[in-house]
Amino acid sequence: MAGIFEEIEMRIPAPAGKILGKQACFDFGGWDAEGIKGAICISFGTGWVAVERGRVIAAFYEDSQEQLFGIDALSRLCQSSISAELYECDGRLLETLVRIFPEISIKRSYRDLMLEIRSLDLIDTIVGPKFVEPAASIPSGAVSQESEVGLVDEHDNGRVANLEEYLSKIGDFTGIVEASDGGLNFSFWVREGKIVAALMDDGGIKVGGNSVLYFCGIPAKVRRSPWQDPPPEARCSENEKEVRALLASLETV
Amino acid sequence: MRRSVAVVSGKGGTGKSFVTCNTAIVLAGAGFKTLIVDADTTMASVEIIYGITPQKTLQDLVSGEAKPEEVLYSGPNGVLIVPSGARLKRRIRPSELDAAIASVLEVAAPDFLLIDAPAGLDAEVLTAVMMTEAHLVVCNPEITSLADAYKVKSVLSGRSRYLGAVLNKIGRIELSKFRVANLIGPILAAIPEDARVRDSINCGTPYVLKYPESMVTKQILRVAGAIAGVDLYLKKETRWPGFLRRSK
Repeated sequence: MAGIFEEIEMRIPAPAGKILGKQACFDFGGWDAEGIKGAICISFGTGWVAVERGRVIAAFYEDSQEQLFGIDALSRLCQSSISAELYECDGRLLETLVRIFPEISIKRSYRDLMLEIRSLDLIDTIVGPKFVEPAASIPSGAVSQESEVGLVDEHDNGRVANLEEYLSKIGDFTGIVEASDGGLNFSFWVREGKIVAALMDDGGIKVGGNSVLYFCGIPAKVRRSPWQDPPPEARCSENEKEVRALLASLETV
Repeated sequence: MRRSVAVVSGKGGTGKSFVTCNTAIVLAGAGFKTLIVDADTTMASVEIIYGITPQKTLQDLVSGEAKPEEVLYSGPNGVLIVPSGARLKRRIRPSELDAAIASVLEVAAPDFLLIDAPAGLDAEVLTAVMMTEAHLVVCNPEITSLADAYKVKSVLSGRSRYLGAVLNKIGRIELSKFRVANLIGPILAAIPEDARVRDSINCGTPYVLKYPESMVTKQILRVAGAIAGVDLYLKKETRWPGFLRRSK
């Protein structure tokens, strides 16, 4: 992509083809997306939006603090008046990106989305931060965890039909979930509902990290215990380089 | 016949034959009459995994030197096997493969037919897929294998129903399940890397019979369950043969 943002490499690259123009202060609200023929990609320094015939197909936002996907990304980009570059959209690349990063997908009318985003802005203005309950007064994951620590889970005497599903609905729990189906033993380190580390042992093989999450779609007996730091080999993380390599290899398919 | 499934892969070495052979044993152990045809005439390995030494093979059937009943062998749990023949006499044409399998099906009348197809996307693979009502892809968690699996899935779509992918030899995988499933899903099973797999092949005793309680066997049960359309599980009170049964 040859443009003013070319020096910034985003995790999910903009599906940008031929450049159409630049705008010093892009205004989402005033932009006539309905009048666009074909697909275009609006690229900003911190993200991009792909629009096709009045429909927003996908969006991505990234800064040094966070990455946002889909509608969240679009909302963030809408909050600031920023310079933009307009490109023809590379449909094939966009399709590949949506396949690999389905979280960027939106596929909704631009007009409806703008209305929705403006409504949210309005609510924020009316309610304001003073009406938001202070975090300290809300029961935290740590408090609710305390009553459950050391106890067999409440699901049918600790038995769950699908361990993977159980973990996906664990709420804001922080601690360790130990699970067993009699032969396989699992340990999951969960921080505020997110699995940050995992181990599996079937007596013959031991697996740690992201891989364990592929094996846990089984019925099991579960038990929660307090947080302890996981061993390094258990840590779950998605390798950025592998995602990029996968993306590159699919572009040739 | 309840269902026929072709087991395919992008490249060789993904463990396709291992998955096919062990899945067939599980289905047979659950009481289903199961026939496995080794259609990989260039890299036949079904007979090696089952530890049998066939006199007549698919290649003899195709060349008219054997009758269908002469190339049918009984394996563990009563699974019926049509071996390809480890020594390649000549490459089998798709029409010959089609006719040969049809003649065996008439004799065997199985509940389930599993075709262990060659790797890649040659005419034999397309024939195997078009002869069956569904297919599944076996791949490894490496980027190249995932891209291959995606390619195979795309090319074969529309030729028969795509059951899903079996991720085999999972060691340390650094892509999330969500991302991989979105690409080649549904993921029917995720089989961990296990040194005992090689041992079982080397000694000619199928893995699911040797290590019925292992994670690998549990994942093979999932593959068999997806094919049969029922939950399958280990019947602990009896030993081989027939150590599996259907769920209620």
